[in-house]
Amino acid sequence: MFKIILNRILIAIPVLLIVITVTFFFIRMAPGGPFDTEKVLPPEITKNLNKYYNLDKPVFLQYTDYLKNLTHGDFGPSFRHSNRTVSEMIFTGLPITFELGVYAILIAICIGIFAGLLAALSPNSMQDYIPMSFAMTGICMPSFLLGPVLVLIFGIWFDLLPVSGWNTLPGDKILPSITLGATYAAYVARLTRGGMLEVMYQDFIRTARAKGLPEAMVVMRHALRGGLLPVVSFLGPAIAGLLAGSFVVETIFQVPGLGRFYIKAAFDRDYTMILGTTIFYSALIIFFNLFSDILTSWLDPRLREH
Amino acid sequence: MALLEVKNLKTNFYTRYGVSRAVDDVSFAVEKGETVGIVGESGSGKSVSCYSLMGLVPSPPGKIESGSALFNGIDLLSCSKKELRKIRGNTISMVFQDPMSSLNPYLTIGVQLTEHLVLHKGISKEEARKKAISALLEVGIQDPEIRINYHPHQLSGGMRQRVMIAMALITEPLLLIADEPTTALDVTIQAQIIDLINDLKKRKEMSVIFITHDLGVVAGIADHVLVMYSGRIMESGKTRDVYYDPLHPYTRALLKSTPSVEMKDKELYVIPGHPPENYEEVKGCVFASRCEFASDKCRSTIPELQELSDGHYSSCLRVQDGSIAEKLSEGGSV
Amino acid sequence: MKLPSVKKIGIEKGTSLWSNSWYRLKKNRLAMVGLFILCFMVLIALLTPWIAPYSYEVQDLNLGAAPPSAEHWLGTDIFGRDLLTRIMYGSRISLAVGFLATAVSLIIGVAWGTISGFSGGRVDMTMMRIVDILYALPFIIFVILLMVVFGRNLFLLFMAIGAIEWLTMARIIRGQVLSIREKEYIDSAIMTGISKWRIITRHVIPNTIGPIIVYTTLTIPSVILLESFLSFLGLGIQPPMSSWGLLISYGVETMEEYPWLLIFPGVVLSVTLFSLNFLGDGLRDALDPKSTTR
Repeated sequence: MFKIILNRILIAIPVLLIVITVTFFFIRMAPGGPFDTEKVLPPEITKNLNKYYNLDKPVFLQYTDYLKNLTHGDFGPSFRHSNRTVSEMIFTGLPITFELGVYAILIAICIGIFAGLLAALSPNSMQDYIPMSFAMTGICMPSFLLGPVLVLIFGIWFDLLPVSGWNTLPGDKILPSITLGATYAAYVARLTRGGMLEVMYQDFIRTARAKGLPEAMVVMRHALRGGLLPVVSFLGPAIAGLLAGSFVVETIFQVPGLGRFYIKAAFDRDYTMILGTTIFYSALIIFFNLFSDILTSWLDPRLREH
Repeated sequence: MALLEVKNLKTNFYTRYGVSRAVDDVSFAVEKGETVGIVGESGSGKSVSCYSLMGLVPSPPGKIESGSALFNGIDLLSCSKKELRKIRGNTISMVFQDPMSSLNPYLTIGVQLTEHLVLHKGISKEEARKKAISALLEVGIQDPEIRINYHPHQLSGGMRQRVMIAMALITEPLLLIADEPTTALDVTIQAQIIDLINDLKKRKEMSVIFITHDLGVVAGIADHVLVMYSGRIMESGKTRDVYYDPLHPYTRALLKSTPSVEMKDKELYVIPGHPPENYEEVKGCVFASRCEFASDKCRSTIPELQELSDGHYSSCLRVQDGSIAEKLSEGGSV
Repeated sequence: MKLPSVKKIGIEKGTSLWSNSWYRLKKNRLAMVGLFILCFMVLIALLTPWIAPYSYEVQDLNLGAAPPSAEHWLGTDIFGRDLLTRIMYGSRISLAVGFLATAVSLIIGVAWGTISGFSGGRVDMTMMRIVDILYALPFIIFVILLMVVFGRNLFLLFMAIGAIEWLTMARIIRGQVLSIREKEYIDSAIMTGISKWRIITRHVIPNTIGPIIVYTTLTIPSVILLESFLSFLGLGIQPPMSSWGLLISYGVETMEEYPWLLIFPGVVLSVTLFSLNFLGDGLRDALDPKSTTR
């Protein structure tokens, strides 16, 4: 099993380096960027940029310097806000996005697995069709549609829940979390149902029943481990999607998280911010994919050997 | 009184192609301490009959239409689910065909050996573990204290089947149902497993139902044989009788088509036609369409099992009325 | 010895994999509904320039945003433009992006996967390593980056989306090719002396077609979703062109006063995604020879 972990880490490192490198050089190419000599910038920004990037140094040295700074967590100054650094902005927004993400995942896992289990235990019945229809809705109504609709219904028409802010009004965390988590709950539900159905038809389930085990034990002890594997492998890519989803959700609900900063930076053309956040996000995603792969290997004993 | 007495068992499968008569009026008995072999091609209903007894027939699309199965005073087919569960894995155990897919790959064999033991006998986990270790020894697995923590994929095919047998016998059942336990194994291991089952059966005074399509295997292990075809019993009796004096064209055909060393240059005998799909209502004998002795009466009357000599039953109309008795023993046997 | 003739005992007619699959698909009502709706949508999108009630740019500033009425079945936006027309034109873009980007990813993915799977050995390993590395890259981030840096170019949009989706397709195809290679009937084909090319076209491809069809049908909605997502954020399609994502983003801005501007494009998007997903699911169930009536 350690071989697998090592293998994955060995892939992750060059990937991260590729990301950093490509992003770095992309930014340099951007018209109107910090490296576009034709652009006229406010003097404080130019001063910061020069100090940080040492623009008179050859490009390659700028690159290695940047890498060195990265290892200290220093992403450089913001391109648009002369008195703030990128790191500062990342770490202001991060805890909020993190909290939002955790709630969304909890919703996704709890509701998703529950719905999927219900459906799998009596396939092709109402107990199956109803949760799965909701799940299909979750998949086909993207967050940028679901969010506004929820806002319309609960915020405007029925005036039950606040529609913007985070931690400013009681209950303002509910709608954003549900919006973000809903699509994932849908995927988890479908994966759980699929995984469980596959497992329940396996021969070893028949053996478990032949031993006289009560059905609950058959499902919990024998079926669940195999059945939930697809959900675990899904978690890695899910995080990537969750991050992307946070852009939309934070924009719609005015949540001051990292996602909203990222989108604003994209529109403001805050290049250094874009650079830094991209790298940060990429590192997070790579880490979570790695984590999910490791978890999957650990859960399936057959994979441990290879 | 027989340990298990099955009467008129009928199980159907309701599928999109129609209703399949998987088990069509089957009756048999298993005495204490004896081994009954059930022989037949695929689709003969041999496995489904036993699954029906254990309540393991998936319920849609399967349905047990009628019949009774008295085991130890309880009718398995009409008792409550709870009662049936207390019997499964406890007084009746099953061993399945493919040990790789029949064992849970995610759990250690230790867990799989002890969970039903703890459940049925109420002993502690530590005691159960000790019993599991000695069970593994009994089935011939070395270093059981180490192996008990293995996962199934870490064992070889033969060992896995031994584990399945240990798992079935650990609760000291009165009846062991073995569904083609040797089909997925190679020949040398097959012999070992058969010997193991025989040995354990004698020691524990257990009865065994041994399901297989392999006549050679049954000859070595069964006291009584049931020959099934398309959901019905063609012939049943003591093994010696059925083999040396087959009283049904199907049995004779099966015996003839088993290749043996003496055949040398002769061609392999093949029963013409192929097994029916069980979907149609067959008006007469199910084997009539492939039987070289079939008459019009065979095609229009459903035969009943009749005892023709001591304990030897046949459902062939023409054997029952005596018209082909000599022809049958001509063909020679294994 | 003459082989005994096989008497037909009246079994159901032999069914090929295809007719069997089509039969099963037809029985799946949801999938059929999905197929029907999809065909309808495509038809409308293709015929839009001829059947749209209004011309694309026509504005009616006196009218402004109006709820559904006899002249404007779905209402108008703040510039008085007919919403139905805008949705119809938007569907051309959204569906086109969906199909074309999927086609791109299909071609690249199938080519990559087949070559990799069939070559085996080091070629296979290298090609799959590349896929692994690219897979680990957080593409959404990259796409956004691309959009930011290079501006919103429709061509680039296609490329970016196609570049994300081909990876999974390549993996699936390669998996299929590998498992088929191992199958005995390929060995028999090789032994009877058929050329490698024929083996690929006659044996490998027909057997991999199933997952290809399923995955393609399920990729299209992902792509449409991705394009809508980008357009919603302002990083995708730009005015004067419109797509569903763009229409939805406009709708969100004014949803309190003019909810129909959000609801109608939203419904159309959702219904299309539903149809594609149900169809894809149905295809998956129908084409899997092992699945029973689950």
